Amino acid sequence: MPSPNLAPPDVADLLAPLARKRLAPERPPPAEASPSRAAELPRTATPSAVEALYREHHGLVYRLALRYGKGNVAWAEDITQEVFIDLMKALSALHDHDDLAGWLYRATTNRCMSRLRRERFRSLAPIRWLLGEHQPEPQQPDTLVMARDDLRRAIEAISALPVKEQVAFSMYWLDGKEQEEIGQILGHSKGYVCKLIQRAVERLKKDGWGGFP
Amino acid sequence: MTTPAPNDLLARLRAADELYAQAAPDPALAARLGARLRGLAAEPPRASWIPSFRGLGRPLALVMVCAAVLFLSLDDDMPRARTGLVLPKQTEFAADPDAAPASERAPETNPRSFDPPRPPEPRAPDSPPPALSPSWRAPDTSFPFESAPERPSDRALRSPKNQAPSGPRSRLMTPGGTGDADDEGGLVFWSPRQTFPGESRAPVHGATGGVSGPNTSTPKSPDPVDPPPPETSSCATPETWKQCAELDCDENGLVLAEITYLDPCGDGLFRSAEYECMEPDPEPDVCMTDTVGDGVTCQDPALLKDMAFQACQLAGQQMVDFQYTTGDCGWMTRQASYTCCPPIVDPPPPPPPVCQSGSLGDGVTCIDGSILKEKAYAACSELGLNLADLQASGDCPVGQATKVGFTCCGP
Repeated sequence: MPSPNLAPPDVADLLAPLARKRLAPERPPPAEASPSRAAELPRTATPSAVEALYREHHGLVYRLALRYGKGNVAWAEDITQEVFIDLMKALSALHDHDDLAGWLYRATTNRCMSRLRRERFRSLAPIRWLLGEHQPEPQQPDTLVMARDDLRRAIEAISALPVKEQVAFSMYWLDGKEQEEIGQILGHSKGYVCKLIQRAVERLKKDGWGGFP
Repeated sequence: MTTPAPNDLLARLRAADELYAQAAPDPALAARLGARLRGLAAEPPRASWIPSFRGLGRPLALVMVCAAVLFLSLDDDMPRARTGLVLPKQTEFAADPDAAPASERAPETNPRSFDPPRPPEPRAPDSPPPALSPSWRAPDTSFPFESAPERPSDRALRSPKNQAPSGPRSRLMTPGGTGDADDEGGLVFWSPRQTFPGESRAPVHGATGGVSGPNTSTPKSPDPVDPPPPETSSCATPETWKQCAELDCDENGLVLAEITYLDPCGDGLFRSAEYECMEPDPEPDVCMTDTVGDGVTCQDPALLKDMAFQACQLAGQQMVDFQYTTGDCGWMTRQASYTCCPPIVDPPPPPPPVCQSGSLGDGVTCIDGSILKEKAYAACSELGLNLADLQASGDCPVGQATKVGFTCCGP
């Protein structure tokens, strides 16, 4: 006997709007793990093995780093280098069935988030004075997309968000990650991730941005 | 191909991502990474828990400055730490504007220092004299205020709970020397040790002068008493100080009004105390019974009653009882007794309530607002108050309300 449906008929409308957004066609499908790569993982963390992994996977890391670094090439190269150094330290602990691309995605995202948060903290005036630093340097000249005004405005809009919201928003809307997976990567609950994404969308809408289903 | 809307953020971010995906890192990055990886593999593993202190200079300096300020602000409670900061024989009241000049003061037999005098440590006869601290210098006795002025916070820190009142106060002070007094302030300095039997009493210099105020008296030198001996040569318990102060006040027919223990020296002991005496409270107002009439002459009781009434009035009281016996005087009496009591003052009646609130309407029916307002006016008038506030509520057309809350207030 089927259990009676006690929920109101419009329960779907009452649920979080992000539940519907998850089904929106505009959002890219989540990246699928490639099981074939699992067997390719070297068992020893030698420099040459990591260099080989770098040649194969640097595109993913570098792209994410460029995104969170607002296209700053030097910033992205620093992140890329740090991620692969981390990989060398962690490679021996990675099992064969681990998805290296997923690990790199997590490591890059967390590296970028940590660095963004550190930079924002250090850009506070009292902290700058305490650390004896001067005014933050202006935007680096070697940016990729800053020449295009429309892209520059979009990147500045998302960069103005709090770091957590910026990363959660990007993972959800640009990378097609599920909220639960985002929560696992960032170390937050699914509910908190949902809240972060909603807040980000509200802020962006308040700034006049649209395009969210 | 459709052009995205000008405010389509996701489309622009994806376009930027596509650009990023096409970008390739500098080939030198691979070389740098390889070098670092090889260096990392070559160097021995470093303990990851070792912190890096680079860039922590200013925060550490800030923390150290805060710690130093905290230490200096608390060192008044630490006698040993204070020794190095206070000159020997430093006069505690050097900065006191009421203090008499040195020339008018008694010889400085009482060092009045914060710390008790310690006997000189035994030294070898041929050993050199102890080197003085660079910050130390011998006090110049020709200069009346030879000491650093006391910081305002010092006294507050010494006696945080008992701030000395501004009136003339006496001070009991150690450490066991002869008494000293301030001419103008009526300050008496003596140690509880001086009250031991057989010990000499300190002369009280100027203890009789400088007293003002209706309920304050300068204490004189107290008679010998036998307080419990203090635990050290300079520190005494608060009970000891209080006994001494009470005795001193009692000598002058006064009572101890307030005492403040100063200069804590650990374990609940204090080196000195400052106290204030006051006259005891006047006799409480009680009823008084007396008689009128000489007991011989027969007099009109009404006349005696008038006399009793006047006697009570002169005493600031009112007559509550008048009794007499006629005896052999017929309707007159030889003596009558009366009782006067303090006048009974009725407490003032409580003030009438200033404001009262109420409401009109059933919360459902829409009624014209002017009608409700008139009712509210009438309700306030019945209470002898004025309508002060009117709040209409309810989902009604303009000018109507289902309920009105009103407040009436007195004139």
